[in-house]
Amino acid sequence: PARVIPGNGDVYKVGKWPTYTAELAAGPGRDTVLGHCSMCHSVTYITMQPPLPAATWDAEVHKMIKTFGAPIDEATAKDIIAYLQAHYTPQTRKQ
Amino acid sequence: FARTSLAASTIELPLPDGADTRRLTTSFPGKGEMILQRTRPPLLETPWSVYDKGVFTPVDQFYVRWHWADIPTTMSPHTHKVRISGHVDKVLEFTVFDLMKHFKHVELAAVNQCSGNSRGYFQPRVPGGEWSNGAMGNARWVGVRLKDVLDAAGVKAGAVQVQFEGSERPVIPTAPNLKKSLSVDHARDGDVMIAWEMNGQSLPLLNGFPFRLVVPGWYATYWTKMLQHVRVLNEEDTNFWMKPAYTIPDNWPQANMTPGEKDVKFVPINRMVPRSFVTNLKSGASVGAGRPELVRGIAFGGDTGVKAVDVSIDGGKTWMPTELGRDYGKFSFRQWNTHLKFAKGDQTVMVRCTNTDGLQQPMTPNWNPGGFMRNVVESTKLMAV
Ligand code: HEC
Repeated sequence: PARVIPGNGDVYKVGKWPTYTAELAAGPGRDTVLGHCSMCHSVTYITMQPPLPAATWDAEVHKMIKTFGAPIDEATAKDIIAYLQAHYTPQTRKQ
Repeated sequence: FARTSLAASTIELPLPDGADTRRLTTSFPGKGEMILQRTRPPLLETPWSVYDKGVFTPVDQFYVRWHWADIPTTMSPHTHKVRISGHVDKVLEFTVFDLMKHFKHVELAAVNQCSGNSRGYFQPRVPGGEWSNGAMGNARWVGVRLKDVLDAAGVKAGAVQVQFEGSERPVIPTAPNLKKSLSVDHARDGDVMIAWEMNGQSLPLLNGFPFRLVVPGWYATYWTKMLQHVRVLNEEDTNFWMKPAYTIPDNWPQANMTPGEKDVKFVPINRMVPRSFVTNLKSGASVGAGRPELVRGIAFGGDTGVKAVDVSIDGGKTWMPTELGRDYGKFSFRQWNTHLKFAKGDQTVMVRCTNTDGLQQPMTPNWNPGGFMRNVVESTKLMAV
């Protein structure tokens, strides 16, 4: 296990934990996704998903915006959804 | 269950439809080897072999689940306080040392299980944390009764719910903080506790140091980590994390609907349902034919104790009882074991828990869009030679 750094008295202080993030598929929109979808959680949350239908990706992106307050405008959302649909649906997912 | 490849230090869970390769990691503070689901915020799954070692899950391999990435990495038990406020006679604040000093200590064994444990097996698949079966653990929790703490503050007449909030925060200030609520009666039932110790150790930071809520028999979404605010509410909590997040179709214990079904009434997820697993044999393993083979595992009753664990090797037509291990209380894992004689060839062992309310695991899996409350009878496929 990673070290727990002893601090003053009983202060529990931990170092940085790993920030490993899965590689996203190469293609147009990849950087937009990296820029907007890794604010709150690593994009491993995208690659970890099973192949999801195109409509589900649309709904997921809008859920991030509406319910979690992701600051993503509609034009950018369109690009993000297009990228996700191009790489992460049952028809398009490579691995 | 899982196939491991030591060289790459990865594991295939295995989930249907692929996308199930995960890294193994020992790099998280206070944690031993864990299945890395996500680094930020951390989602760490307990490797399956851990559950065969005993009834209590080792603290350093207890699963980890956070929602928001702003998690304190420095936590002082001398200054971190839980604040009791809202519809109470007086607002109170306690450090862990204050809690230890002012209230009676209690100990309770209880299973903590993520609402979405086993989500990765839903068919059709649903988005979310794609867990195998390792988002659960059992511990002896030591702490104080929430009832005693609430009574010290004096819950006013007209109180409806008690809301809990920990120290994790969203990275984006406008995003909704994680807040969960229980009814006042539930919060004061004497079982719900604020715990600072699990299995004889203080909580690892990633499991909620210095203290967390323990809600025996209920899904872990209510077990607020790094507890900071306890607010007594005089109206129902309508915050996002109570509804629509973490809601199930209103037909407990199934929590079941048809994909695409319209006009389903959803309610906040609540009591757990019974589950049981084989732990000493993985699917794909070989066993001896024609002689008694040890089959062993764990079970829990959900919101009440385990009455029986039965096994079937004929697809569920007939069931045979197993021997139950020591009873650590109705909210704990319970070990079971039996010896089974297999004929040569492919064999499937099914295991089914019946709880002390008579509730039995179903033969067909449930489905709901959140991927919650899976508790279908599990099957382990073996080859008898
Ligand atoms: C403002 C914060 C925020 C941003 C930005 C964000 N997410 Fe999320 N996301 C969350 C939260 C919170 C959850 C649910 C908590 C969890 O599961 O850890 C979540 C969950 C998910 C899930 C799991 C399924 C679910 O609905 O719970 C997926 C998939 C996902 N996000 C994809 C994305 C994609 C794609 C983007 C970029 C368009 C994105 N997220 C941007 C906050 C965010």
